[in-house]
Amino acid sequence: MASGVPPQQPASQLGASNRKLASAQVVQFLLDNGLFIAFVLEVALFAFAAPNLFLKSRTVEAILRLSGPAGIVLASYTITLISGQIDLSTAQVGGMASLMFAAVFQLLEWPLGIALALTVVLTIAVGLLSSWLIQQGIPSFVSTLAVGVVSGGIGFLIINLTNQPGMIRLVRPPLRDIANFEVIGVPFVIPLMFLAYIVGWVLLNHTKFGAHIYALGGNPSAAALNGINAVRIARIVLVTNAVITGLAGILIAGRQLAAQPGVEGLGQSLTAALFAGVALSGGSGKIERTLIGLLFLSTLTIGLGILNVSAPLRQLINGLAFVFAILLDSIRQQLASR
Amino acid sequence: MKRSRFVFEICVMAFLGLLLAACQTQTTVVEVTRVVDVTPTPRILTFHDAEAVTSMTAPHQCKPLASLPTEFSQPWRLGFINPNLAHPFFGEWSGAMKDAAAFYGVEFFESDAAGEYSTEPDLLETLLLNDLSIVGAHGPNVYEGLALRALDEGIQFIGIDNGPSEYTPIVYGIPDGIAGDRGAELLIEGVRKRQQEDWAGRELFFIELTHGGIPACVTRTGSAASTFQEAMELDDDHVLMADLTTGRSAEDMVNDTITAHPDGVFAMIPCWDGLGIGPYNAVTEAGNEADIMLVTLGGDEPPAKFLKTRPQGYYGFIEFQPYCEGWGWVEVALATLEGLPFETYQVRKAITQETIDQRYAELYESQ
Repeated sequence: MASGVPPQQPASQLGASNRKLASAQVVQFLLDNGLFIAFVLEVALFAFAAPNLFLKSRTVEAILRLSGPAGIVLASYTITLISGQIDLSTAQVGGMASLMFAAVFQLLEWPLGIALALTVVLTIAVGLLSSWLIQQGIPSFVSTLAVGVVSGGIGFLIINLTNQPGMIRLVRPPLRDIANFEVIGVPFVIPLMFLAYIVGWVLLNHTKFGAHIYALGGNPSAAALNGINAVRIARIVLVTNAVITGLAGILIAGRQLAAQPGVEGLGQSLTAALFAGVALSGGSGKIERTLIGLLFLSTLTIGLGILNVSAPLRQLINGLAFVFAILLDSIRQQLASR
Repeated sequence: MKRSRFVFEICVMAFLGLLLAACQTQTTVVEVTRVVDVTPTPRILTFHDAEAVTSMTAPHQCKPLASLPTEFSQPWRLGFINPNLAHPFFGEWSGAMKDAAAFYGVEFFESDAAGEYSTEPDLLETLLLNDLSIVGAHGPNVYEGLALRALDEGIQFIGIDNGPSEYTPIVYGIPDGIAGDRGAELLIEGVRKRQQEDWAGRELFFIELTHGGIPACVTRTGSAASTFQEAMELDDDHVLMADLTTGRSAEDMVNDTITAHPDGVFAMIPCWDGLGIGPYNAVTEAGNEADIMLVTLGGDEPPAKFLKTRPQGYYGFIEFQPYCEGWGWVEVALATLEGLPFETYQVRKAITQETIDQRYAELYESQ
């Protein structure tokens, strides 16, 4: 009976197996490169639909301008997500920081450096509060949600204490000149955004700390067994994210000449990161891809505006993009667990 | 696998490079066109007839704010960020701006912030891609930043109802102080009638419903408060303020005030209709309708419809004529671009329960 030769699979079974393998490869290819393909298709679609408006260097500048401050936050947000923490406080922390800065710099007329230092101290405190709550066993998305509410409250308190009408005007020089400073005709926030990604890329791919972030996000228990100090890493990541969010909030307020509670645009970080393949559960994702995810969303905003798509439909499309991003994350996780 | 991905990413970069190259080509063509446009040509100016504008804008019968030529020096392109097209008042702005742009033969581009003022800076970036000659918006907390950004692009900014700023030398919209005064005068008329009837001998309070973050509101309701206080000889303790910037709802603030003064009667003026009608309904639900009198500022279709139902304490409104305000913005923008003089926008009509049926029929049932 036993001949020593493995039994031959029937040709039909072999074909089915090959087809299954091929389709799995296609799915994997789409998951790996889908964002690039979607971005190229998106650009091509808008270029086809509105060539006169979309194919302009000014449109590229508008997309980058729109991406700028949110992109800087997204770079640190990606690192936070990879480490396994979900920060839901960004919009409120950005608003609170800009109000704190505006109160000290604009209303008290203290020097720029002191106003910045005080704001950084406040955002460090917020980051420490988030990490302390996580250390107590509270999931990060709950902790940061609560910290976001606290930050929003601090923002309103600053407005109330300074007797301001819902916002603080931010027009004192030299801030507006700094916020609107241009390098060779390009707003400086754009090269700053690219710099943030380069720093993030080096940190994640060429440092021991970056390897620890991936390890912690991928499997916290295994990371702890290998001597990685999870508490310390979570603290550094969350504090850095809070500080960068605060500084971006000041930049946005400086451009809008007004600081107000809650900074619109910073909340898109989660969508862009998920879209780019950063796992919601942490441990995987590439920072360079989140840049493409951000550009995809900014191009979508500008493109839909150019096509004069109505506001309700724009909102629906943005919502569907978020749903799609969550679905992609789910599919990736299912494939990874097989 | 890695190699194929590398090749793929190179292809993506090449595609983007080609796209940028296409952009550069396009820019060159535009520059050539601009050189041709600079050549001066002698023009004989004829102007639009004011009566034609009034009949064109029927039933609103707007009075033109500027005498504009039938042919402009350049093909002007106007842009405006509408705060919320779904809002009846702002929706009327939009319709009027489109009508006026068509009437004067210029291009008009519009974005809709859908009630989210904080999105206006992003919308401006898109709008600016249309090579605009002038741009406008209505946005309490963001308009200065918008104006600065437009100035960066060498474009003038004319907001509506935003108030003055160092970046917006041209202030256009409702004359807030006058509007507030006229609202107060109407309210005084109504309160005096009630004081001869069921409010005789009752302790009178004035409630200013405002939004401290909007300079136009501060002026509008502040002016109403001082006019009312002076005419009715109220001391400061009887002039109260409900400010939305405190984070509380107008409904809660007004109900709390009435609860705190159970023997009082209350005269109210809000910065805009909805800010008054909401609390009015809340007070009615609490069973205190007989103790309040409301005059609102704005007067688009929803308050007009509400006034037609003859609510006991809703005396009337000052009609801002949003259609004419939107139409006028186009005229002011074009006059500014042509270097021509223009008049300020005026608020003319006070509508009460006695006149609402006729006015409603004129505006909303004749079409």
